[in-house]
Amino acid sequence: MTEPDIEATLERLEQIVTQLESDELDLEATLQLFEEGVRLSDAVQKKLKQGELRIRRVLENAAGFSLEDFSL
Amino acid sequence: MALPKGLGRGRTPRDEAPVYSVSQLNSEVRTLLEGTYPLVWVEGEVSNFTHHRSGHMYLTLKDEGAQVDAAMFKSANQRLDFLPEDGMSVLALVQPTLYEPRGRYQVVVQRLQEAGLGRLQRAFEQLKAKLQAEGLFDPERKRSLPPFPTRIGIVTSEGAAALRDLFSVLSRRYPVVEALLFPAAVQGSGAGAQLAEAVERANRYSADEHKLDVLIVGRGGGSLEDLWAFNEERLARAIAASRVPVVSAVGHEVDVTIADFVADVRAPTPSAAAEQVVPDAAELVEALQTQARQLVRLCVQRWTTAGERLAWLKRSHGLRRPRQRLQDAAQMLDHLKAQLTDRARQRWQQQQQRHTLLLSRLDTANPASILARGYAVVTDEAGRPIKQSVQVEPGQRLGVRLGRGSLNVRVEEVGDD
Repeated sequence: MTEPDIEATLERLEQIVTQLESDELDLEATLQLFEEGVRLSDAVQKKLKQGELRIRRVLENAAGFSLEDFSL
Repeated sequence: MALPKGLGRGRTPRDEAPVYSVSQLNSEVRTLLEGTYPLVWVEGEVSNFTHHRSGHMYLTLKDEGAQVDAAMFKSANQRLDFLPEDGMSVLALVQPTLYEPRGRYQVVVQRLQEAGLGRLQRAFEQLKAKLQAEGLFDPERKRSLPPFPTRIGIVTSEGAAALRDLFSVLSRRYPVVEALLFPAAVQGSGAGAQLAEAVERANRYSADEHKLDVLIVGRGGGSLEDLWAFNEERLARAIAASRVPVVSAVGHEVDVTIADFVADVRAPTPSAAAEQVVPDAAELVEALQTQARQLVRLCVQRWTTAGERLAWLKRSHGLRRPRQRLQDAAQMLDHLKAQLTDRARQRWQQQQQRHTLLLSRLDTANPASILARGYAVVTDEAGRPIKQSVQVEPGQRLGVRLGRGSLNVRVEEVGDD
């Protein structure tokens, strides 16, 4: 699964903002960071938007663990 | 009456032992009794119960072989949450004493509990003291919960209403987690052991299959007896040994269970546990939006500075003005923020669209990237943009701004196409 890791993404966004606050960037780099920031922000929001709680029951027997869908 | 041997006639008792007044004797015996026995718990059955007009209560505590008179004064019995009656089994916290005027041994009752509960209470206190002495409740042992969990283990009984509440909170707040249920009976005989096994099973799953970020162990509300499994040593030890951080969630606001003391975090109910375990996606989205706006603001600043350096570009009608564009974008995000409603899904959707739009607009607004593609901007000596060939004459000097660097050129020939 290649889901965006929410925690890592938030950290990266923080870095981007910090970089943009520093004075050492040319315009092109600024725009690249901006684009990356918006892209990451979008990806996480999409994940949150499309998320659906998965509930599974975990059973264990001699063969190991098995999962089955669970609903009340 | 025969005197003991060695006691001669004519000798007063004063020579053998001190002589007390009755009052002195009773006073000393009372002091002795009270000094020897601080408060003690006594288990017994109530008989001869009377609630006197004065407000004091008088009763006899007895078992098969003995009995003792007891008084429970008004100040103490006002705190009773039940009315004692004859035949009731009770546990009494008493001060043994002597009623001096009558020389009668009795106990003064400080606290009175029905015996069934009392037994549980005692077991609770003993286990609590023991585990505390072992350091299982130490604050240094408490682990913090990961801020963004992906997999949550839940130890409770299936079909519990509490489970429904828990799932609905997870679903509303942070629907990107996986909830894994490790079922166990939560009351009745063997419940403590079943709960402990489920905690151990969850730890095995976490080690062997997929890592669990946190484990919620709990049940919905119930009477003190119903919750008793959460006061069992076996479960306390399983929680203490858990490598996955544990949130206890026993649905009882008043009573704290042993499981609560051992767990890393205590929540009053399973749904409260869910609130503590996951972040709120809506808040997260808001934070992301704030950050996006900060990105825009920072870019506007950059482009403002750059725009001043490229003042001639800003005056050009042929190119979009970057500063204006970015300010538009910032305004758009402001507008977006104003539109925040409770309907999170709709909000996210809108924001995504705006972001996409913003990106494409930013791209067209970037003069550097336009020039980098091979276009050039031509200006006259005053820096005014040249848009038509009729504006220039042969021999005139012009400035040409390229993607990188600039040229000063002289016009050879003017075409009219």
